[in-house]
Amino acid sequence: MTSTRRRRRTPATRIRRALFYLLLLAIAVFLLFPVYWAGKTAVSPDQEIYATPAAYVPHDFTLQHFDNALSDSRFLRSIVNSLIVGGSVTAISILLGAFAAYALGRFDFRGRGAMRYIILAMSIFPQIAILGSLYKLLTATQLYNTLFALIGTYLIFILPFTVWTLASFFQQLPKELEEAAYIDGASSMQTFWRVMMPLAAPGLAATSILAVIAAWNEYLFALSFESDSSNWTVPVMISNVGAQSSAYTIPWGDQMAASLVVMIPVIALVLVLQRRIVAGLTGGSVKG
Amino acid sequence: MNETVRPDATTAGIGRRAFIRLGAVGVGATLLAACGDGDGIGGSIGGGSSAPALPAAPAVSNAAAAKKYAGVTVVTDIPGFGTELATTEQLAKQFESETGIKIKTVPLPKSTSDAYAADQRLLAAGQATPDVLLVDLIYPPALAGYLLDLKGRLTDAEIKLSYPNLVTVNTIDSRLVAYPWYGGFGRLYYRTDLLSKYGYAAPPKTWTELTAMATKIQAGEQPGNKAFSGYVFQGNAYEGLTCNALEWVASYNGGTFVDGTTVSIDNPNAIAALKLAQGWIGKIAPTGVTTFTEDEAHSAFGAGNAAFMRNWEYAQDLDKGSAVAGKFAVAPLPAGDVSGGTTAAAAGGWAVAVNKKSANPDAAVEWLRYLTSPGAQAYRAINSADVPAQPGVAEQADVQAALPALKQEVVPFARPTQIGGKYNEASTIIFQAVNGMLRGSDVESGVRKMAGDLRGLIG
Amino acid sequence: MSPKPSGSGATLATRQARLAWLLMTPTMLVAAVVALYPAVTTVYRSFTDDTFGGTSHWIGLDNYSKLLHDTAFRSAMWVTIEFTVLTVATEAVLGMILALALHNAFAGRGVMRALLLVPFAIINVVSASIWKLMFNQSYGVFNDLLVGKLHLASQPIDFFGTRTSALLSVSAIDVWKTTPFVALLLLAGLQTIPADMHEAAEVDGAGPVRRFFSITLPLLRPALLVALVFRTLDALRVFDVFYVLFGARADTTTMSIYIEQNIVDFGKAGYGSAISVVTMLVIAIFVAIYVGLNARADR
Repeated sequence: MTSTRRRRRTPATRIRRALFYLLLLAIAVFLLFPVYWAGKTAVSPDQEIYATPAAYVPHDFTLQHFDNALSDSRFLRSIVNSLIVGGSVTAISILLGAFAAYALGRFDFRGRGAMRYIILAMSIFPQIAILGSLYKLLTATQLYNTLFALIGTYLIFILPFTVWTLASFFQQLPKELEEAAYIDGASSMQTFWRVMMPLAAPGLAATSILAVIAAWNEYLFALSFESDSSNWTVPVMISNVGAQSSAYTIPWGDQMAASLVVMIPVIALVLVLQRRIVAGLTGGSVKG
Repeated sequence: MNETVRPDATTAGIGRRAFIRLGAVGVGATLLAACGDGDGIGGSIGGGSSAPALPAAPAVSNAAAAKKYAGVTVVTDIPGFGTELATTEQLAKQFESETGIKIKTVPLPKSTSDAYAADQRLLAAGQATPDVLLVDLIYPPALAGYLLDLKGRLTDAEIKLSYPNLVTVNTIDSRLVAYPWYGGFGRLYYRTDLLSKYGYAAPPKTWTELTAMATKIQAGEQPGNKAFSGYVFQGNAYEGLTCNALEWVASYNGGTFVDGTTVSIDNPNAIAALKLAQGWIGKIAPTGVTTFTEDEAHSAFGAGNAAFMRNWEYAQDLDKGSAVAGKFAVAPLPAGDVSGGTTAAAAGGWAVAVNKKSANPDAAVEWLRYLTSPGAQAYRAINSADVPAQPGVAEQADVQAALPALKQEVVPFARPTQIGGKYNEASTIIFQAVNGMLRGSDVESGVRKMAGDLRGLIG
Repeated sequence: MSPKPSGSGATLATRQARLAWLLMTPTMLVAAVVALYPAVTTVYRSFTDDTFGGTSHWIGLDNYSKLLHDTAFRSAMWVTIEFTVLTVATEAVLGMILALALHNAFAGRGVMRALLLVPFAIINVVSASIWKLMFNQSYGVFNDLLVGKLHLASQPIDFFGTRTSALLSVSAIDVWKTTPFVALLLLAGLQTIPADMHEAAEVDGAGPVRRFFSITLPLLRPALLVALVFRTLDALRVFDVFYVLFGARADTTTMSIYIEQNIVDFGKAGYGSAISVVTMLVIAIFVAIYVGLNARADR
């Protein structure tokens, strides 16, 4: 959508540019306001949560909530667990999913359409509906209360998504490059690694990011399949944060502080993934 | 900016990249794990947060008997967070050191329905652990078949220590399936400064009085504070509303929705009570109160936006730093303005039970004994604001100092859990109907439908 | 669509098919292990009267005929469908706008792209809680802005008062949380469109709007389809945000909440499984609609 031609700075262009930045500002406010509110809550004493009139800037700045969150030994462990589960599920999904997506996206064979929907059907059941059966399966296979339980069960909803997304990216790619590779004597699999995957780089990046975040956010299975707090992932940990609270109170400040802290590893992981995948796969060659 | 790709510039082996990525994550994860605190998590005791140090737990009075089972491991539920987690862990440590029985802990999820779902799953699957379960007062009817009868294990004297109401609720088919652990009763919190400002010497004794007081105070305060309301309570469609509604209806001598196994809600007193509550919405209670749980009411009152609040004893913590610290007090809930009207408080709380399939029932019962002993209950009352389930403990001076609400009179009413496993469905019928009434639907036809649905359910 | 290098036609097609099935085998294995067992047992259980603490007997279609007359389920179904249509449509449009905006080169683009992840990176339950706080009638910041600062309302608004206002509020939360998902997918789709197609069209004199509808949108269709299908799947199975905000309120119960109520709270695993199967069918209908629309656009 951009051009390498130089543009003359006409008033019309300047207005368009100004409107564009205004749009960006609106988007930024929309995305960030609740997070700002969470951040403000994290650095204020709990009773400021309901202060009337609302306190837009913290009156009594405090780092106590961050201290509470970080000094809970279960907290750091839960971040590690989430990273392990998220990373593993994503890696498995991308690998398996890329193969399946290549088949579904580039090959013509009988039963292709049906297979797409059978794979989609994996993630069609509401999680709560299959919870009981999965619990029985996990206790029978001794995987209950291990991280493998989560890695396995998360595939139910992450793998179909990965397959479909990658299939749509593979589908879009122009035939000419593939045919050129064949003419050069490459086999199907060689074409896959050398031509298809690099071209689908943006799709792979987006898919991994979304897969990691889906695994990161998941609560129900993480709660139901782990009984030791040493196996808790981040969402379960955050709901149990708050060393000073009683049964009915919601420890807002502690929860918000913990939530903000865990955002750092996930955003860092995602940025790293994005850059690595796109840059590595495209060999760093970018045309402006 | 489109990134155009030169196909020949890629490296061989995209799979390699995926494995490298996984490897990097794995290495990073291992490093993080090495840096993190590796001990005292999961299973064994020690949450390790920066809470102020707790006093030592009381001595184990049944240590001599319990030592017989030294070396055995008892798996027990414990609260998953907060001060309750800390005090329970202290008790567990004390018990371990004095008896040699090992305690392995399983933290409960924060939400009671998640905890119930977990119990359902593990009991239906016939799991033998946890040996000791923590159950909300409304669960024993549904879980009764999976729990050990404690009547043969605890002495009569021990059982008589608890509030009779709480013991009855936990007795299903003459089996005592769970022993009361801590309680909770609905209380009226009121703003002492506002009452004196508007010329009221004492908190309201009847609901009519409360309505009048709240109206006057709200009229006076609202011009200055648009968010001010007279009365806040729990009106969301959940179990807490069943408690509030029970209090209204019982205070009007209208029964308790289901008395024993007979549906009793369709009587004029009950209808009057519900009409009263409906009349509050938009007048002395904000319309949003129909989405309030304990926390919202607590926050609204704590912000200084309400003259009266109905809540459990824990709300005393507003004294520790909020806009109303030092400006409020607790009283019994008002009575209905009818003959036979009485102050009524819904009885809440949790109990301790033993898994029928437990491999170590005797050791489990010893742990249960200690956990529910008067000493432990006093300890938890003082250090984690848990209302004792035994009147003897509730009358102790140090306990009353920690929970001043206990000094007040309380007339407890239990929710109709005697109908057995169908209680949850009955409660859903009740709170959905009452929530609808609070939001404006006709009370009389609503009560008729509620009664019909309840009769259809219970049979 | 399969490439046709030199070689005899018949064996090549078979070889291609065999390779395709081989490539899909790992995925099918995973599906068989983790997804098939729960699916089959759920369907089986829907034909029984399995209850917690009780026994289980085959009762045929009894659960389903009961479901036909279940007004609570019908209400749940409509709540869920309305929520889905509202949020997916909004997110598609907003996501497209976001993706187009971020596709341009401008100073700070990397920062904006990272910002996109922020609503996503907040745990679902936590984001629902903070929004519930902001919407609160008594002490929420939205009312403080509307009544206290901007004077756009005279009394604090009850954002959850009626079914409509509740649906709109909860949809706003979902739009905030998952528009980035759609935007990310569409952005990746935009990045795979070769730049020369746009340049050629520009040279031909086509304006930006024309270019969008005749070049960009058709090429984005696969990515858009994926985004819509999975957003719809998620929206039809929504649980957390509704439960945190409204609990078990009758007029905002979604299909998943109703399933949870029946299986967990009421202990009716058999009936709950029947509800699950019907929910799945509703979802399948939506997927079929997308597939039909997509096929029609193909022609």
